[in-house]
Amino acid sequence: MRSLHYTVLGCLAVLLLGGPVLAQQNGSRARKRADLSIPKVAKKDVICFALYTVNDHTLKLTAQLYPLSAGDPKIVRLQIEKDGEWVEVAQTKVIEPGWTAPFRVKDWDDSQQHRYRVAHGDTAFYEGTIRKNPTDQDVIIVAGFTGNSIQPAHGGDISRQDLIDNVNKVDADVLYFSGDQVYDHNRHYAAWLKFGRDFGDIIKDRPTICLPDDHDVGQPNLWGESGKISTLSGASDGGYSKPAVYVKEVERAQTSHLPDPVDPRKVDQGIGVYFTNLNWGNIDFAILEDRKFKTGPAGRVPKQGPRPDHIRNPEYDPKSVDVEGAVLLGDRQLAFLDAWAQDWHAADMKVALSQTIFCGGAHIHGSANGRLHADMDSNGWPQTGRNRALAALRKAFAFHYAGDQHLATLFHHGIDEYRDAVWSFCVPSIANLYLRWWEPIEPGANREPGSPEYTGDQLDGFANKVTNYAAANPEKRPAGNLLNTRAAGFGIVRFNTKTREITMECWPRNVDVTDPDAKQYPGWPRTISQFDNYNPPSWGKLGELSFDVESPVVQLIDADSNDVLYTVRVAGKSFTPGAPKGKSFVIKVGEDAPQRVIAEQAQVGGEPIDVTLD
Amino acid sequence: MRQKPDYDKTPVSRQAVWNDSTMINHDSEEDIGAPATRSRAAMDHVSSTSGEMIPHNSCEPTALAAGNSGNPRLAPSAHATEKLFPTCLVAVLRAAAFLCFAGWTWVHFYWEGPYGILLWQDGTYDFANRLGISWDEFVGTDNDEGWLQKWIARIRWLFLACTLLTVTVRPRSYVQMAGLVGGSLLLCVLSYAKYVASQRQLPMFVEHGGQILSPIVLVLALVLGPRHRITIGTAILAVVMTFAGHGSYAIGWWPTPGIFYGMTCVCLGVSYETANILLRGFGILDFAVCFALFIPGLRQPAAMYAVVWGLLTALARPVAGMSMSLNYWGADQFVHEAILRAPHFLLPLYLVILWRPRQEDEPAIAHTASGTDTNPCSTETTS
Repeated sequence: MRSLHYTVLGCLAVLLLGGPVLAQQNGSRARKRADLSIPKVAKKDVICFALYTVNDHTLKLTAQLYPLSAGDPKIVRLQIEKDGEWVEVAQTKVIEPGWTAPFRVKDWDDSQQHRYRVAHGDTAFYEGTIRKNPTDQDVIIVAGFTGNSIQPAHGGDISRQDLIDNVNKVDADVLYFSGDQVYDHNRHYAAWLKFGRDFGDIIKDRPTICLPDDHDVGQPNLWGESGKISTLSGASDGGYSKPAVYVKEVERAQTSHLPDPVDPRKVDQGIGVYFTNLNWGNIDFAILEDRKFKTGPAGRVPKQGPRPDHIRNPEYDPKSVDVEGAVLLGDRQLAFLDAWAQDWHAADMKVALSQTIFCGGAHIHGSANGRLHADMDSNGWPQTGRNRALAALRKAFAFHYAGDQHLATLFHHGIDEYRDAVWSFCVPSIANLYLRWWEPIEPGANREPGSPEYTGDQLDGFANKVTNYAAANPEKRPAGNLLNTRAAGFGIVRFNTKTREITMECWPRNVDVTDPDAKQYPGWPRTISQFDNYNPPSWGKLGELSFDVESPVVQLIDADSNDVLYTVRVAGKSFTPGAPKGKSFVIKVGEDAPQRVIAEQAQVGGEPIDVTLD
Repeated sequence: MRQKPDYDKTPVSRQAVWNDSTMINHDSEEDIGAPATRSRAAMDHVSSTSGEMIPHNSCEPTALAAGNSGNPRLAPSAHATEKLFPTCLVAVLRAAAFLCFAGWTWVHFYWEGPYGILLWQDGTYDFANRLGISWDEFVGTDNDEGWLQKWIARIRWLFLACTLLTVTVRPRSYVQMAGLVGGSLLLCVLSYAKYVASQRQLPMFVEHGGQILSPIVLVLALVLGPRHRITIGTAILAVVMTFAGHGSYAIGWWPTPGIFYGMTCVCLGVSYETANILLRGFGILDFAVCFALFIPGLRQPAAMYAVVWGLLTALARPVAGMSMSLNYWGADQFVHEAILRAPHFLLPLYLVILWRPRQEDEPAIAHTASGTDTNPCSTETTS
């Protein structure tokens, strides 16, 4: 009997321990984990890093501190250098949890560069530079990053020094971190400090935009659904999985330095919003915060795959998932975009910044297989919401700069026809946690000569019209599984406010972008015109407009519906508006705002118009 | 696939009952017999020869098989109850394993098992490569064409088979029992996958102990008897693993999952601060249950609490998530989450039934027992 007992107990032990042992693959490598311990620092080093933006003569700067002791002062001061002296311009109290110190300084003189330092107590000082607004520069450079995995398994532990060096070499004017700065789902503060240690040297000296995405707020995907509580594993029921206090801490750390939200009303659970705009160097950036209001798909769309948000059935009817009531951008965001698109004060170009792109931008997920017909985490869903967002953006000829996808892509979006909306550039991950491929089964139509078959006109998995121009697909079986074999990298976009050209560059990691021999991912660089962001192939041209002032603002309004077709600051003293054929338009013009009607029934093929504004 | 279970029979004698159907060792008839004559103290002892655990408050069932069907000290209603006792125990264990496998079968058929994190690895491919499977064959080129997808899909049939086995398995159905043990291994691998996906948080694996062990407990109950000490010990282990795993999260030793807060806030309509306090309290109670299960005077109420808490936490998923505004009210998203957690409350229920207080005949039995036999081993020689 005893032997029977031992046998049974032995079997139990094998069952409990054997499974994990047998299932363990690459155990030693997998166990090598990122070190997220918070280092103990000397009092003089208690300020980890600082982020800032300047907009409309208001400086917002957030200093990120290491944990303070109970006896440490909780007041942090902001000082600027004047005539060799440090002059205090603001002080603030450190906020827990998160140890953030947000400053807000009004009446900031952005025509001058300022040296600043954040001071804590008598010993801790952190110095940087508040740049002057580069309105005199022809080219504004925005370096874009996403997906900052720190896990060694795929190269996340490799130094970011190449990124630091390249940002300094091109002297980027703005840094844009589009999401997943933090992948740890429970220790945002520790990971954020590490982010600061890794990138603080470039962040401290230039405006930086951070958009916290799903992993930043501690969940694998994010459909914010106006702040509701998510209780479904995977969070596809919509809302936030983490307690609101955690989400607020994340948003405070990553976004409290952004310009004030244009509509600061909070969503459920008291979670704030941060969608706003930042005008810098005559470029008006709309910070979209595209996850905050988006509806979760679970239980709302018919099941089409192994997860509520994944569609595996290629025969499904795309219209079946475009359900009534499903939201992408909230009404408040769309109202903001409508106003933003018509406001061209101090703006030559418009750029939309969001976490992800407005289409299903990948076909294969996770590894070399896992073909998905569609992924509702992308902004290709819901289609109606996607089309509304793109329609709002194209009214401003806005270029769309995003991340999230773990796959760099270049798309020209379409709503009613191919290429009738904005261009988007999704940058590659800093270190790629999760692989994706753009690999349509059928070759794209209307491809450029010599371009790969995956380019060209396609319908994405939601039947959205997209035209692909480039995709930095990783290797099918990534050799070594480190960085560039996993298509890691970063993006650089150069906005020329004089020529109105937009040049997109997509760089792998560990290259010198100033080296003439350095190669970008296939399909990059690419240069487009600002006006390509709303130039449908079916359109024709109205009569040329000639002005007596430089670069006025022009607005076209549908004469029948009174809907604004678009508003744009033109380049130079002439402009030939594009417009749909067979319709009549009111044309309004002004130096900074479209205030004067110069035509009421303009049509394609109409006569030229001389406009006097001065 | 065979014969009637012993506990369905009217016991004629101790040996007749279990010899015929439970396959328990025939020299250890104590599994049903003598406790009718044991003292209360003796009930807490464990037979050194058989391992049969006879809890002090579980003496009634022993009267059942002891050939005591005609025991004049038992009222007729008690006899009827006692006849059903082993049947009831095994039925509870059967239900636990059945619902657990049924829930996971639903996941595998309707959704997808969580194996991706284990299988999409170079190591897995290397293993497949050694079996002569090329990279293209391994990953495929389209939907569900790859070797991996096919095998992941086939696992669903194994879960379905295990679900059926929990219904059909009988005491001498060794092949079916082996299948259930294999099913337990499947649950173990599944739990390991979730453990890896959770960035190797130990409680994630531990809390699945109840599910992993539920088929094992059923098999043990059929092989050794539902009141055998190994059966009971394994059931206690399963409950302890579940509650210790949950408790580790709730108390905050590992990061408390957001879903814990979410369910608490939504179900109870409380704020985060209140939910935090409640979760810490529930975590402490989870561990209190784990300890109390080993204390004779406390184990029955502890098991009762575990039943209630296991049921509530299982139901919390659909209660918090389902809504009239969702397709099927969200049932396809949430109901299986409650079903597959059935062992969380049914295994404690098994213990509650096992340890249930004496009924109306208790004084007579206790009196007799205390006066005649304080050594459970000695009683075995009486049969």
